[in-house]
Formats: sequence, structure tokens, C-alpha cells
Amino acid sequence: MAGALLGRVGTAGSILWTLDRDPQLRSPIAVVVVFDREPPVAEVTRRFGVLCRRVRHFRSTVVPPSVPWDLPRWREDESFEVANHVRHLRVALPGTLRSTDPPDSSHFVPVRVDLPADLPDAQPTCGPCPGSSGDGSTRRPWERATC
Amino acid sequence: MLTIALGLLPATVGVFEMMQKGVDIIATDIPGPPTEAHFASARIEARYAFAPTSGAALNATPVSLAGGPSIGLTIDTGAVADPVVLIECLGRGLDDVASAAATA
Repeated sequence: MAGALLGRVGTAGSILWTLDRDPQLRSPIAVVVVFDREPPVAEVTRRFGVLCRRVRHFRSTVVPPSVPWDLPRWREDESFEVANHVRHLRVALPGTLRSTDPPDSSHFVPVRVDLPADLPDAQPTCGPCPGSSGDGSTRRPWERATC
Repeated sequence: MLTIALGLLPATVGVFEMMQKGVDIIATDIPGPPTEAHFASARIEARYAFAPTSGAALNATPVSLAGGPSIGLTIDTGAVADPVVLIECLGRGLDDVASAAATA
């Protein structure tokens, strides 16, 4: 069932939406947050869910215009599931991004992230940190997490 | 009406691509809170934003938090043959800038 229409996309947004047809000009943004400890993942997801319910554009999608000279429209995406957009990874101390992919020497760490286009088919993952028994039950309180 | 038409013209993509051909690096600065931040009982140590290259070879986006920046790099590996070398050079360059600022 289609969600409610929320109005026309603005002109700047329409241009960006048009540019999205070219893979090189797509405008996905991924954010990685590093926490000092593992937050309750269910609570993190719940809070993002609350935010997305309050701000409808966070869970809306674009409907192409029915005629070429019109602007596209926003529509609520009733299949939107915030859990599909939040992933978390637990790493052992020192718990920085370097723990996931140690570089030779740098202030920067090469990290491969999935683009949003890949997310609808992906599921949030929670794996054991390196060196644990594999089932997550050996998690220690001083192990840190990234979300 | 002109902007509406501009947004819908198929040529818009081509024009934008042509503009981006002369761009090597896009840098976006996102100032964050100057104090510590917490979320769901955990302290946020860093935030990295990976912004689109929009046709350029590299996008560098520093995000500050409590006075310290974290830099997310989105690299077109088709344009940058060895990203590790680029990252190391950027790190050294930032070290030089920090050293110069400390002694100024």
C-alpha cells in the first residue's frame, strides 16, 4: 500500500534527484559513529526510529512526476525500516577504527562502507569481536563498539 | 519555472559532469559541538561522515567533536591508483600543519 504524498520535491532536490541517475553523481552519505562503549543496540535503533517517525522526510521516498514538466513528489515509504539503515560492529580495545583494518601508519583508516543503495538488501550485523569465542557471550564490558 | 525546467532537463547531468571534470577534491567542513556528546548512555568518541564525490576524485569531510576533527575520505579508486599513499601523504601534511601551528 502506497504511503501519503507529502508534496513536491524542491527544485534543488529535483536536480539532485535527476543527477542520481548517474552512478558517479549519486549523493549517498554514510556516517560512522565511534562510541566509548557498546550502547544498547535496540535502544539506538529505537531512538532513530522515533526520530524518523517525527520527521517524515527521513522515511520518505521520491515519486517520479507523471508528466515531464512537473517536479517529483515526496511520498511516505511505508516499508521503511530503520533497522535496515543502522549497522553496528563491536571491536576490542583500543576500540578505534584502526582495530577493524590496521593501516601501516596513518591518521586515517581505509574503511569500506556500503552505499545506501545496497542497504535495502542488507541486514544489521552484530559479530563477535576478534578473539572472542564467536557467539558474543564472551563480550567484556571494556570492549568498545562502533555504530 | 526556469529552475524547474533546469532540474528536469536530461542535459543537466551532462552539464554537471562537465563541470566536475575540472574538480579533483571536494572538501566539506561540518562543525560539531565543542563539548562531549553522548547517545544512548555511550560517549561519542568520533563521528566520520563519508560524503559523495559527485564526480570528483576525492571528497574529504572533517567533522569536529569536542575540538577534535575526524576526517572521512570518499575516494574514487578509479582516479586514485593508490589510496593508501594518498592517505599517508594527507596524514603527513596534517602533521606539518599542526606542528607549524604549535610553534607559531
